[in-house]
Amino acid sequence: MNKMMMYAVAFCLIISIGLTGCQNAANYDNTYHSETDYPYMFHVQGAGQSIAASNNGYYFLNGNFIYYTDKTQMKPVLLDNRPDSDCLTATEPNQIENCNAYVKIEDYIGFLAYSEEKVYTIESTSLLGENNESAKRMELIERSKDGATRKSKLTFDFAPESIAIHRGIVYYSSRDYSKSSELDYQIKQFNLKSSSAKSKTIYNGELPEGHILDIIPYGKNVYFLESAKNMYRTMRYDIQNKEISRMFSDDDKDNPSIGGIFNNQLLFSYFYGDPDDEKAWIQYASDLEGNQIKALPIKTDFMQNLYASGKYIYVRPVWFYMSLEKYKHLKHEMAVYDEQYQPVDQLDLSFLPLDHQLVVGDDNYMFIKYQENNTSYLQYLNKAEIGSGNASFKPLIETPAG
Amino acid sequence: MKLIGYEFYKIITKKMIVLLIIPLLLMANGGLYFKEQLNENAYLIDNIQAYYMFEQNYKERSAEQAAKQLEELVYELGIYSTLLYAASGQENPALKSQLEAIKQNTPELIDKFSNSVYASNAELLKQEFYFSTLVYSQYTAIREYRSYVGEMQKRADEMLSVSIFQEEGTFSYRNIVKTPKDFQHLQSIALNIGLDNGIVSSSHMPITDMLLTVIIFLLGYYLFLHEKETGIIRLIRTNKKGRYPVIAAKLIVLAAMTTLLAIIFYGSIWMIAYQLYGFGDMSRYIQSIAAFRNSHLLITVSEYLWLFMLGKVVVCVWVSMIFAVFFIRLDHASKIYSSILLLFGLSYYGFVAIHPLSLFNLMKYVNIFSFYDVFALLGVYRNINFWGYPIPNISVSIIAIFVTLVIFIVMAMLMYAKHYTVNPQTLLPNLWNQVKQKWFRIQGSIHVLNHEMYKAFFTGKGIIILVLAAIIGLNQLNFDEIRFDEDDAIYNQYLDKLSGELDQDKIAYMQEEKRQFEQLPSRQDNIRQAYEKGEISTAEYTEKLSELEIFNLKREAFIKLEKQYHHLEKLRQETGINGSFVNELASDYLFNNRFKDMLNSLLYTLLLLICLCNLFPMDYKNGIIAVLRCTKKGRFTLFAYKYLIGYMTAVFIMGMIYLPSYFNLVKGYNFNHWHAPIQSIEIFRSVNIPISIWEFVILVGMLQLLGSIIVTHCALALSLMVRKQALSLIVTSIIFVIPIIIQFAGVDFIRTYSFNNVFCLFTDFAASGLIQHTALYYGALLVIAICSGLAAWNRYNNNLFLWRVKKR
Repeated sequence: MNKMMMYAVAFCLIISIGLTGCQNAANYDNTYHSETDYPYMFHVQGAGQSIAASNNGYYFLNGNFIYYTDKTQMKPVLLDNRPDSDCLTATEPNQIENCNAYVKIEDYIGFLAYSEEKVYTIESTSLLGENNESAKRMELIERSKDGATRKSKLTFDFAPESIAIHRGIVYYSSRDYSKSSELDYQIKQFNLKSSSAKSKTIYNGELPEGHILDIIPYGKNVYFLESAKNMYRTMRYDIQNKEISRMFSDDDKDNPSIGGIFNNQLLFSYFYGDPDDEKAWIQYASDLEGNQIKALPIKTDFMQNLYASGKYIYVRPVWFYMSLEKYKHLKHEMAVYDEQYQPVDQLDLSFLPLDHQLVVGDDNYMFIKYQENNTSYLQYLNKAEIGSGNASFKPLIETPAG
Repeated sequence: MKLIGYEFYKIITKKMIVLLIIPLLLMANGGLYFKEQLNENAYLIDNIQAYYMFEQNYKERSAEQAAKQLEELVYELGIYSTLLYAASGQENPALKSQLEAIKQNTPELIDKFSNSVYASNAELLKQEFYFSTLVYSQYTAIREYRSYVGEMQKRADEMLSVSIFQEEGTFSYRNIVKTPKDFQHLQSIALNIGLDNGIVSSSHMPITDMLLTVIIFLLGYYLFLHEKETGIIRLIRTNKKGRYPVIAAKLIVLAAMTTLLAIIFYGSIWMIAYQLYGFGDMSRYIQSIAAFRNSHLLITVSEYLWLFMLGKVVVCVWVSMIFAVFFIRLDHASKIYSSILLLFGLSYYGFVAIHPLSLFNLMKYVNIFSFYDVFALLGVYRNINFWGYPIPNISVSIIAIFVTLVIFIVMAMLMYAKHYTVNPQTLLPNLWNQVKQKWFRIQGSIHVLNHEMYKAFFTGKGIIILVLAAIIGLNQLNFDEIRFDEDDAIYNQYLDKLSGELDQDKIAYMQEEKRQFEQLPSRQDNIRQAYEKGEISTAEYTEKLSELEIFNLKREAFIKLEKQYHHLEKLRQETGINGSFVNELASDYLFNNRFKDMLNSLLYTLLLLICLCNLFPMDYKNGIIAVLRCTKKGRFTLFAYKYLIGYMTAVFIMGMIYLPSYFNLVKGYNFNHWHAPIQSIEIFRSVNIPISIWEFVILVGMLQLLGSIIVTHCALALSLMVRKQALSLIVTSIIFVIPIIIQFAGVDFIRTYSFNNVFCLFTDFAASGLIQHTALYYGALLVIAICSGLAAWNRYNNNLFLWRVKKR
């Protein structure tokens, strides 16, 4: 009997060692893998990600609901496999919340990601607190790609300011205060594939009134924007070496920020505090470590936001300033450049309200989200139309705002 | 048959259950339902005949015509209500804008209203507006149902047009294909309006489920445990028909009694519902009622009611068979009680915490609480993912109930016949005995108190509960620093500045801060204008704007602070009390945390009762009480020491459950306002005694301690009355635990009519604030305590004859 036990234990050990050995080695290459990597082209500055692409289609978080559409059709349906569910027309809160596609976000900005055939959202929940009290928390929820199953992967004490999923790891920024109101902010990482994983801090911020925004992982790097009063800086975390470094400039007055990633290069710009400063109008490119900096041959007459995806680069005036009388003459248009930085099209964006999100998207479509009259709108632009002179945004989804 | 008769006889001759517990619980069941309905629908109940006359008017017309007329009527009467309200001299901005809209859009209705009967008869207007809204909502529900069912196939086709739902062999695909087919037969059914309050409210009565569960536990005790406790089981088992025939008879009686009681309890709710509301046209399909919109069962209201009753009966019988297995398998009342509590606790957790889409959702649906929810089984269509196949929840439940029912019956019979546990000699008890003998022997003094403590905590295993309480207490201690979000941190900063009595400096600070918030839009405009005029650069413009935005981040915290400020101002004006700013985050954590209070009180009561209910019964179980009472210290001394041990236990568990909150408060929050008047905290504005926060906390703590000693006192008295551990657990649970669960379920008024208030004193002071109320409540408790103490003492001396079966 004892021998049998020994054999059984030895067998289990061999199997577990074998399984451990079979685990994927961490990937530290600097090329983009659409299945596992953070879809940087769906990142929205300050707002993170609320649209994600799978091989065949797109997932959208619009209002409080998740939609899915195939790329070939662009006819979205709710991510709910129940034809008997009528959550969009229901009026009772419990009927709405019973919808499989419903995401309870409350005051949170919303997050939706797709990674390795799973859909991720952040949802508000009530849990039993430390002292038997009912505590409100946020949870990272993982759904199957058809929304048929779900499970909670991670609980946040405070809603993350920025979050990204990259190669099986969640990177998120956390910000909270002690009882004497001393601020702590940091970036943490959490391994989605480990059942016993705990969040681990990879960077502790030290700037007064600091925030960490715009976490954008790419290859073996995690880029993030660290902001404080009257300044911000771009930082890089090297996943392989576990090192943090400051990028593009050490001067607090330069305020560099990444606009996009294009052909394995970082596109970025500086802001010196004055939008009329022509130096701030120049766009730059660098390698993934922030070296080999060179100015892009894109001529503009004002400070621009830059986006990049597929074979195009998109620039438009920083629309925040366009609400000012001084800049009313600027047209809210988006110029499209090809890989040789030659203009190929001009898109009209004048219909957009001041508060909106532009998602540059993948090779196929660009998206725009905004709210008006208590309705969340999502529109798309077919990039195949770029250059034809007929490229324009078309309505895709209208959802009652949450 | 004779065996069945004897088993029946055993139950129906128990005066306590037949004459006391069942009638009491039946009255509580009906009373709670009645009170709840009165609270919610008093107006409708008072005018139910008038409602039916109103409804009849519209039933006689075609549905389209009636719906159209009602739509117009509701609109018109709504405007009349506004006009009438305005005519009463009320003034507020919302009313003003409504009046403006009426004048603009429907000026003709103003004249029409003046000439109508409603202008001089507010009651008639109120009644007709209410009735028309109610009937119109029924027509709307029917109209919406038509499009809901009619468009189901269209929705399914849309879903199947995308690739994620097209994979054949997946749950999603099968569910999308199956659902429209399941609703196909409902496309063109005839739907009729009718009042649904009676049907819907009587379908949602979890209190009935809970009370029946208690009675089933009681039946289980009399049928199974009583014979073990008296030792008569050994005699029964040696008889020719002492095994399978006896257990078969017991199970039949248990099932039959459960069925009967379920019919009486659920039937009584129906009767009350029928009397209050009526059920409307019983031959209409349930889909006529909005609450049944998602049901795919083509049944009428009367069929639904019968199926509901059948479902409840089956579930109750199923629960009774689970209890039978526990009663047969386990030998000790506290083990049975704890095991069943654990089972129900886990089931409830699974029912509420598991998401319908979780991989473990079978544990949510194959679950006692899910089965008890017969309304959801019949009224809500939901397919469960069973290895990729959509199986209707109702089918899963029926199969699970019947399969497990058979398993439980077979288990119960086999265990009774083959392995009936009387004195199990399993590994764990042996180990416990060894540990007990080695480590917990009485050494030195053989004082009665020491000996009784040894009996209570080691022989009776009360130490396990005390250790459990200590573990729970330690687990509640929060050694980590409590963290705050930005709004709360800003609020904490404000409080650091303003902490203490409201004086002129603080008033000036509040006014200045308010002024700054009020001027924020104009300051933003000024900056904008200065920028437009070229007076400031773009960099200065963005910097100044950003400063204002940072200031604006304080708004949420200031709103909270301002509310407190207004409260303190009002407090000073109305009562002359000069209150202080008190950190509301901390005070809410301690004083305004209903969920925590309820959960702690439930936990405390359960732990306490399990400990107490064996103190006296253990001496009666083996008859040693007769010997003890003959000894020198066997009367009052023994009696008093047992009570003392009970009190000590109550104090210890209370410390473990309640003290961590105070530790967490002091460690985690900025709370240094202990000397402020308690009225500084808004929820305690009505407390009518001049007392500071620390004095209030001590007062409530002392009252809570006194209350828990009274609870202990009464629980011990009850256990002495019934003299059996299992029975005392049941009886004390009915009196102390069930009301807490009922209050937890939302029936708040039960607080002052039960012992619950002992554990909800913060809520009580927040609700009334009058110390006289608390004094009256505690006065009543003291009277109960004195009476129960006297009764217990007499019972202990055999001077009180209560519920005892006459010895032949």
